[in-house]
Amino acid sequence: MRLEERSDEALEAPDPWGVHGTDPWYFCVRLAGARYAFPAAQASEVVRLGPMTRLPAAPAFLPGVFQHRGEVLPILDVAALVGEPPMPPSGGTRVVIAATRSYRVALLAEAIEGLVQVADEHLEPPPAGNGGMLEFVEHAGIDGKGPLAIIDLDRLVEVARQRSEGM
Amino acid sequence: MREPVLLFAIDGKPYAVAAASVGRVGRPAELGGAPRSETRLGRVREGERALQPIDGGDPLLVDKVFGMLTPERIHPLPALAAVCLPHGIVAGLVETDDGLLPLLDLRALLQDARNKE
Repeated sequence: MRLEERSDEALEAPDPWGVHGTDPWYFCVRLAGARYAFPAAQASEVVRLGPMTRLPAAPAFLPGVFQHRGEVLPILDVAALVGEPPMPPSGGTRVVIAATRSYRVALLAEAIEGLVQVADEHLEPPPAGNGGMLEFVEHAGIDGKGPLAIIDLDRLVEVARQRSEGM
Repeated sequence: MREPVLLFAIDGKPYAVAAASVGRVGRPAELGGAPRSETRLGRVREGERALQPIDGGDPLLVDKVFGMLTPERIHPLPALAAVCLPHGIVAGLVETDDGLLPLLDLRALLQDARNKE
């Protein structure tokens, strides 16, 4: 077999997870032992937390703010928002800076996995129920590392805002 | 325009208020009124000083007053933090050499304390 032919063959080799070049990318984090992902275009960078300033009378899911390249960003503890034990952030904790339609936030997670690609045909409707993170799940999916849930980050942040009303 | 702020602490945590919002700083007995110690800032431990708002009214009891500072920069609260703190007691963040300090709205803080009574 000529080298050229082998090359073509490699390009067409089936991906076990059915991922094609045009399938969407997501940004994946671990929360409460599970994998959650949101559209990659919403994640701008992963940074280590600098000195954090706590805000008086802030809800548990907003443990503080920190400064990154001159910008002050709120830290959103997603676990605390959905009723899980809050994650104690410390200097050096990594956060994902993400943007929703209205807000820029630094998401606190158990672990940051990074970019993943999930084939559309491996996305399914969310499981039934609406407690905890299920409230924000748009699709259930699977990739080479296992199952994950695609979440609606805009909705998650909007719920954070709603839960602060009347505090 | 750089506005001076007054730095103080309650319950071991440092805060700032716009100096222009403070009428007098002194010992609680000197300022009169009913010094407020029950606010969202935590428990006042020493209560050696009090800040009286510029428009009068009951002063805020504090543990320590550190003095005045004219910060390089005062940041607005990030949009999400602003909507998640609807009580309005945090007006912004003061940039200092040691990091960011919450800039409080003294009038809103005292009004919030009265509302919670």
